[in-house]
Amino acid sequence: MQIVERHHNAVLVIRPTGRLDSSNAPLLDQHLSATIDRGDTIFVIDLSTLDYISSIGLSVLLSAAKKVKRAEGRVALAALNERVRTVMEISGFIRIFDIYPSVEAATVSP
Amino acid sequence: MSTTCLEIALVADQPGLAAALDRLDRFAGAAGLSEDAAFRIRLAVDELVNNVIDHGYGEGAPGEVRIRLEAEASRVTLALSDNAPLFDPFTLQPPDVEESLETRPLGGLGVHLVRNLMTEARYRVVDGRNHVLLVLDREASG
Repeated sequence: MQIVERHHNAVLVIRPTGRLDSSNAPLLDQHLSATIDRGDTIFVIDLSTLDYISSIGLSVLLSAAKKVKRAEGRVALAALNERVRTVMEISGFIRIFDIYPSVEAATVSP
Repeated sequence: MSTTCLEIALVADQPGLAAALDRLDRFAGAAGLSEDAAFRIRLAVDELVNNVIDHGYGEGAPGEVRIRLEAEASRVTLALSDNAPLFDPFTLQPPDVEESLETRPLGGLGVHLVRNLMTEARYRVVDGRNHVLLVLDREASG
């Protein structure tokens, strides 16, 4: 899994590429934990290049959202493909997360 | 259309699972399954085998999981069996997906996903082994 950070409209955007499953969920978990620990508690996770997510990947996203909430930050998800969206819907994550169709939409939102 | 079949016997650990998932993906392509059907099957195998790895066989003692996938014109049948202590995953209480971020527990979603992504999900014991039978209606999966 490759994880890239950049800024878009002055908002931190984190983009994991590939599959978020048991073989590499710990990588993204460590990355997001380190991001939050260094004080970056407002960011967008760009899922446009995420092909696949399993339940362990969902736990990584949920864990990050809980930490961000405790730090009074904000995390949004952007650009989910159809299959990732299906998994999020079945899991009820559509209600828990702020989800945007694109990084552009996620970073201009107030 | 004739039935196309794949059988895999894998060691229940992460490298064994990764190799099995690669074979499933290649089979799905060769059998002409839709991207959506291939995704649902991969996720079901991923979740159920991870449960066997984490909760079935003891740590450091990876057992074996057998997978049989049959692709027919109208449906895909997926059978998984293992020799871990007997356990019916479909007796697990479904998660409360209405819960808020603060109270939502981490985990417990794997079997819930399998149940919702497949048309049918059944468990039985055959010759003292755990058997999970999943059916995916190919029309339902798009």
